[in-house]
Amino acid sequence: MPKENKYIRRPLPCHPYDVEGIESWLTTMAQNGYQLAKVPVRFGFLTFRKDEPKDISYRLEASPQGEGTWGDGGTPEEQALELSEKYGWEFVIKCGAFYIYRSPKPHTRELNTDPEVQALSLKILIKNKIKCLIPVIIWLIFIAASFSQKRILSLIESPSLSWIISVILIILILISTVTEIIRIKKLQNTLHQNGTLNHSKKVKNHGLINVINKCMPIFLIVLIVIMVLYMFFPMKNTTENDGNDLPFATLEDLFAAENSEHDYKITDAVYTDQGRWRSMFSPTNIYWHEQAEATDTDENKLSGTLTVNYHETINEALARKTAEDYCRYNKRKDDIQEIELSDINADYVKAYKRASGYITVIIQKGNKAAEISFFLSAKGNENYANKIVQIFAESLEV
Amino acid sequence: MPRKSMESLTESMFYVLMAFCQKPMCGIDVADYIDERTKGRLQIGPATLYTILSKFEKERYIVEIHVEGRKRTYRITERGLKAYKEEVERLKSCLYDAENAAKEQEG
Repeated sequence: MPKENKYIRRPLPCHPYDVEGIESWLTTMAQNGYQLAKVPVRFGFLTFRKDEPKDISYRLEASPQGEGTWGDGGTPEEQALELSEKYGWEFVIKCGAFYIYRSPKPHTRELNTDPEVQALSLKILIKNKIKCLIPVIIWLIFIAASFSQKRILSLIESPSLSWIISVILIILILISTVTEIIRIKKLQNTLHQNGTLNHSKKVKNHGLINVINKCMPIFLIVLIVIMVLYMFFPMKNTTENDGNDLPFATLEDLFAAENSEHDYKITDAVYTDQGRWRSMFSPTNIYWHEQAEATDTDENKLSGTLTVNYHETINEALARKTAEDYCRYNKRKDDIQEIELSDINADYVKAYKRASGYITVIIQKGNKAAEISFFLSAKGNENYANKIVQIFAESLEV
Repeated sequence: MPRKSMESLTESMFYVLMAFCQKPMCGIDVADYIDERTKGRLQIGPATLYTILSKFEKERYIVEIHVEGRKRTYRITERGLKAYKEEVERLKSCLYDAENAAKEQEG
């Protein structure tokens, strides 16, 4: 004969701050023969023991300990336990922000007899919620500041689905916390106005929503861990590369363009660094940096530095916005001067010269956008810059 | 009566302070004292009493003087005594006003 399972697990059917709903539901469960077991609540699931149907009152009392992310452990203070036990109230478990007590009917006296004092006890929950909001708001300010600096670039560079999901989760947590504060305030108002709570409220079942809600911070923690791992093991895989497979011109091409009569060869590649990564809105992103020296047949030497941020976005409009964002970002620098360009085969192009001699070019051609910064030892005049930009524009294939 | 702050006391709060005016007590002694004093008219719930004790301790109306197992004994402070006396005066004024109003109605 199969052994009957004496325990069942059920999620809260109503909002975790719906005190009247939870009290009514637990009382109904007891009347149906399911007594709340002293098993810690995990992910919003409560455990019930199959028993005889009993008339039992359940009451919730605000806990100063706050809510746990992984589970709801904790007990009231010894003095609170002693007082409640004296009048026949047994502490069962902590559920979310509340201690659950029960007493067989008819009980000697109510757990709370002064609605004003009960409303006062709920204040601690609001304080705890506001404490939870502080890091969430700081995080949102950080994200907003990052977006105000580089609006589209933040979307392009940052990455990933996990980043976007974590932002959405943070916003959901913010909404959820504000909702909880509103619920506590409403409960306080009910106590002020009615003097008591409705212990026989009809409850609509929203168990699944509560479980998802309860798991939200856990999803967020997992995502943050993934993001931190990415920071230490970045998606920008730094690899040694000769630059042959790059979809844009490199220093070698620039040296070659310097003097068509002389054949410059790179004699000393001081440093190269490459990173490639994917993001939702820009499937191909390349970061390229190189420093090199070249010598021609007459032993003339050239040295140069090149840094390229290259993006192939999902459409042309986004590529244009990316280029405009790069321009906006560069224009904030104090020492820049715009360079006039002509005959460039690109949809959008801007170039700036810095006091240090570096030239920054922003090009958009089709769905490709790039920010190129370079410095060449031999030349620095604007005509030369135009020539270099032409080489870059031609190298971007549409 | 405004109840949001400690500017005035609720009935339960008032009786808890009254209990501590007699002698130092623990929570259960306070509940018993109130039962006895009000002849069962005011039955203070355990959660209500615990909240009041915590609040009074935070407001320095009472101070813990002894702990024995679960039992915590408190005594009233000068501040608590002042709050109690002020509340008594306020209630006396209320009663005085009510009596005068009744007399005017009769007259």
